[in-house]
Amino acid sequence: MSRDEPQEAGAQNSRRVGHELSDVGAKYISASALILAFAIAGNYLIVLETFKHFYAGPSTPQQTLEGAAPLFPEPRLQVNPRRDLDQLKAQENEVLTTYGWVDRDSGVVRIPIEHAMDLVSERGLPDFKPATKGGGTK
Amino acid sequence: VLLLMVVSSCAQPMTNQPKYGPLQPSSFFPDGRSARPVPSGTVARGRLGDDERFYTGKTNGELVTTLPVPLTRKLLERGRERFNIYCAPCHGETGDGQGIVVLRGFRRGPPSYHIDRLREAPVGYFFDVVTNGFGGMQDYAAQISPHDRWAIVAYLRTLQLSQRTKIDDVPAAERDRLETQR
Repeated sequence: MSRDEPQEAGAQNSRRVGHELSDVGAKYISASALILAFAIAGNYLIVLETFKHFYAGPSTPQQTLEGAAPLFPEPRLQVNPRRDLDQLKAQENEVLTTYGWVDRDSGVVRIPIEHAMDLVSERGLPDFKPATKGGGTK
Repeated sequence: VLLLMVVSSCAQPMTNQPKYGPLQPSSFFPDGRSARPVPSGTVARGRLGDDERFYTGKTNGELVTTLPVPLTRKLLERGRERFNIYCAPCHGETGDGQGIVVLRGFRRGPPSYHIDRLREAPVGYFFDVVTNGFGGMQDYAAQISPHDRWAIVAYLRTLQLSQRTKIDDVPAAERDRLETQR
């Protein structure tokens, strides 16, 4: 009785304030925890099965590169236009300033344009009508 | 006298002059227009173009085979300059039809000047193409004067010679070097 007295006093106090008089039942908590655990496990299995169903296999580095850089037709973007033009000019300059074979077997050559201009100034315009047959230089 | 001057200066305003304004109708001419049409056959100064050979590259519809202007070293120099400005972007400075425009993707690129068809074409043909355009090439009549067009044609022929000529045109020293080279 002596032990119940303070409890009774406490209960009255709690009732006055509006507190609950008993704890939540342990079976409800454990039931909720169990349901949660099953739900987590169930979701994990669903995700796993879905992943297995749609997964196509590991991607190789080759596939990754092909996907990243599709093959565009030429001409590509000019990274350095100045350099491209300089290269072309250098090639053309080489052809226009040097002697070289065009067709060695038939004795056809190219000569520097300056030399050709001298020749044309002396002889007049060439007439290619009876020219040797064959393809062009390029 | 002062009064007379003041009054008379007001009487004839300078804005009221006996002249026509732009497109003002006229009762004087039968067609009612004050702006008169140019008499037929009128040619602007310097635009007569009576030399058919020089202005069209043709005589009686036939392409000319000789230059209508004197061939000089100066003409060739001028032709080279004009060619490298107007033609080389597509045709290439060597005339191989691989200019920077073609290399950058122009699909209807020009042929090489060094193919037989163009080597054997008369000079009037090239003048005609520059004047009237051909295929994917626009005409350059507005950009290049007739004299400059002939200069370009003369240079073009020189270019054709330089890219394909006989071994006899090579100086002896260079010829020896070429012979050893394979």
